[in-house]
Amino acid sequence: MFAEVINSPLQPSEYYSQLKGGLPAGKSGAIVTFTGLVRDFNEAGHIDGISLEHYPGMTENAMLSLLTTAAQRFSLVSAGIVHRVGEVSNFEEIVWVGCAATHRKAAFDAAGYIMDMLKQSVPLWKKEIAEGKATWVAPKASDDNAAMKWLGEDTSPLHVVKGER
Amino acid sequence: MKVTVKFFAQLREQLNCSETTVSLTPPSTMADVKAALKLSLDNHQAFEGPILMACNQQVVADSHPVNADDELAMFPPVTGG
Repeated sequence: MFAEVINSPLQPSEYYSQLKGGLPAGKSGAIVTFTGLVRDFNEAGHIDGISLEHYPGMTENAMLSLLTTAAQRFSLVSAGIVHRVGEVSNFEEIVWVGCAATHRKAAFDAAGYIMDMLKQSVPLWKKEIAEGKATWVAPKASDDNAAMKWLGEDTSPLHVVKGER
Repeated sequence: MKVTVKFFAQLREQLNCSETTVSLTPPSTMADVKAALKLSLDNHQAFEGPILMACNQQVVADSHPVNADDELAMFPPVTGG
């Protein structure tokens, strides 16, 4: 498994090769990848790009912890996350997630889980730039609900953690 | 004891400070750290909004105990992905 934060353009085909190349022989029948792009709009209209801040060390560790949880929950063979930070232009890749499993359903489900939980549990902060002004993005209720959907299921190891907070 | 706290994102900008050190009398908790920061930093209103606290890179509650060599951080709710 791998978790990386980088401040240069993402290379999704390289990460796919890295994930596939690291798989043990004979166990995997499915790889699902997700690539997130920067939209050129928000609720208020057009934006010119974004910038992202992270917490060096904790961000990488939180992503690895998320991968470990997802691997246990969905019986993944392997998985990876690569997240961009710094200035990112519209339509550029911001995040890549790859999940390898024996069957496709686990790989699809795990990719959705990782993205939903990443938006809730990994220290990254987004600023949108429009008309020369940068504005911090507020957390979205829809993202909260997406994460809560997973947390509400009894099999989630994060259910306990959430109760402690 | 002295502890150092890192700040990120809006909180860092509102405080105009990426990290600071505060003095505490042990035994102390994260709530004590926050209270000491409110006293020592000018813009204490920055702590009124939702703030997450991390100790040794794990998000923790107000009641979490703090030791001198812990890595502490405070930041707003996350918005990556």
